[in-house]
Amino acid sequence: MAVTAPTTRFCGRCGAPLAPGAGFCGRCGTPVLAQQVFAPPPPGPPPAYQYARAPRAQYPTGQGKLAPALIAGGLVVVLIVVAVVVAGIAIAQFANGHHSACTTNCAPKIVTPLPEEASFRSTKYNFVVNYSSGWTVRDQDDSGITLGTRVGSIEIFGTSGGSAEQAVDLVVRGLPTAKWQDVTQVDRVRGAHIGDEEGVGAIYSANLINGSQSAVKVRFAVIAAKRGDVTVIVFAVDPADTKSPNGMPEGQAFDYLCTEFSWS
Amino acid sequence: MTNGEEREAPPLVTCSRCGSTVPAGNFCGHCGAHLSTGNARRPNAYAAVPNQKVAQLAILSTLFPHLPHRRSGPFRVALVAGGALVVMLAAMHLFAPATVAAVCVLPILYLMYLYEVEIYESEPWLVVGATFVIGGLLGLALTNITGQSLSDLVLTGDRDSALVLAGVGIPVIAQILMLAGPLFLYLARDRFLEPLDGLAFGAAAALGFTLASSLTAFWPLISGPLVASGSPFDWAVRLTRAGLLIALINASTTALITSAVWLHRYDRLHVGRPLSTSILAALVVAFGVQIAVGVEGFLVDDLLVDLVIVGLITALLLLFIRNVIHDALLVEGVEREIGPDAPCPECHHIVPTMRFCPNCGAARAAASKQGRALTTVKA
Repeated sequence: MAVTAPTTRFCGRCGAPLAPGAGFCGRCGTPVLAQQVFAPPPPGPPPAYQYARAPRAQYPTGQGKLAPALIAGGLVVVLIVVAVVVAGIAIAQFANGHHSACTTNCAPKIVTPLPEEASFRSTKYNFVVNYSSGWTVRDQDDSGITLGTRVGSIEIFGTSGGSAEQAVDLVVRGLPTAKWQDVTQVDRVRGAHIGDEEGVGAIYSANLINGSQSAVKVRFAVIAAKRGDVTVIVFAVDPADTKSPNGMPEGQAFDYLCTEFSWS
Repeated sequence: MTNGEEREAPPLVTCSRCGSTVPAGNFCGHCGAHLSTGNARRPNAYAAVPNQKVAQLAILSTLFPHLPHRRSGPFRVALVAGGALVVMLAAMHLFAPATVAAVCVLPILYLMYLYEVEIYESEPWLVVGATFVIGGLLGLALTNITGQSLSDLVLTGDRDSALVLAGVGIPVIAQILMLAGPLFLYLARDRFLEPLDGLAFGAAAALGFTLASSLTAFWPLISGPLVASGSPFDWAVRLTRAGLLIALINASTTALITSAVWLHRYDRLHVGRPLSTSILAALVVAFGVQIAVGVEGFLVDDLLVDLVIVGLITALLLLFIRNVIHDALLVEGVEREIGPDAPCPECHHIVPTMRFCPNCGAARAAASKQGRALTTVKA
């Protein structure tokens, strides 16, 4: 198709006719200088036109700076190196910090009474728990109570049947693996008791994955004792602190709660 | 012309959409509309990769839009190889290295992409520093500060406060911080003019942020035993969420805002642009998605259900940003030139150099910057 000689000028943006000598389109404001000034070809379906394929030698090969094999291979190599380095640093940190928590032969415990106390009575299992009034009740029903402490939480609940050892085992095995990772027993709780009843208990380390999928290192203790047909279980969790006895900053407060427990 | 063979110049036709007189072909070289149908939006030809539909779920051509179709293959293989490495490590119960590898896949691939297409032009250190490095440092700082507060709330059982922090506070602050580096570039370097520059800067900053944030958030897991406990299935789900989906969501929301901001400067006429390309729409969608994912992640305990929901959100978000990219590329600028003939970086046909390839419809703004320079030199 031959190019027709310029006659009337049209805006290349909106197609409006341009005034003679205009620098801008009167309708849409587009500058005219950069526009083509051909008269529009006759209306109708555009003619088919097939552009030639460039010879391979003319391909803009420069757009590929990385060799194809280098992209996949390079990524995998970099990932392996980064994974090994970061995991190495992390594991070294783990190895250094893992054994520094006081788990055996710790300093004598000084059990100081809680300043003010509130209490909870289980109507189903007939026990009374005295706890610091500074703690917050998160949940309670007739079989137990969950309390938010200063930096952790503690749950005291009753159940019937089974031994204390079985109760501890059931609680730990029942922790959902989606949230509780790397659960490892750190130590037994020596002299475990709930109220005046001897019991069993253990302290564990774990990673707790919270709702936003970030993890925190925690220590938790599970203690159980049985009187008659009632088994009471104490489940206490604190952020892991290597400077505290058993790695639990509130261990003494939890111990005091167990001491003040009353089977009625 | 090719092989010294003289070809008749293409006839000129009038585009029924923009009214321009343009060389004949399948697409208008000025506005990108399909010439035979006059369809301005051309839903079957995505402006960055015209052999794909606009409504098509594709990670590479959406977040790596400068990548020519023929160069996307190696990146696709790299993505699969990275994923396979993560799966292999997780299957061997090497969860710490698997976590590190999972959160690094997309950020490293994106660095390769930036190098491949030279978004940064002559200032690689400035661009990478303002996006990846600043994003990474801010991600590290935010996660350290808020992670401790969130852990305290979760451990003490204060779910209401934890929900507000995890569902609203952290996502909103994180989204603002992910924008810091790109906005610095926006103010300091106005020669990075094109909306796809903004998109790439936003995605890069978000991936740097997500990498540092994820490593910090998972550090207790990474610094656990080398051969860790836990179900490989749980880990596979968790790593897919953190390594792929959250990285894609953060990259998409940030890129959505930055591309809208860049488009606002690029297209000052604001005539006939869809509402979805406005800054307000980008802010609403981006912050809405961040809050939705934050709240959902806190409330839904089941890993698989959580993964499905986040996967759906990711897919919808990718489709949305793909539409925005398409519309941004179709925005008419004042550039109305018909340049010399040169091979199209996308289809490799010899076409007049225009904003869109008259043959395949690929937007020239979506070609790699080096590719664009080379075609001009060759011509």
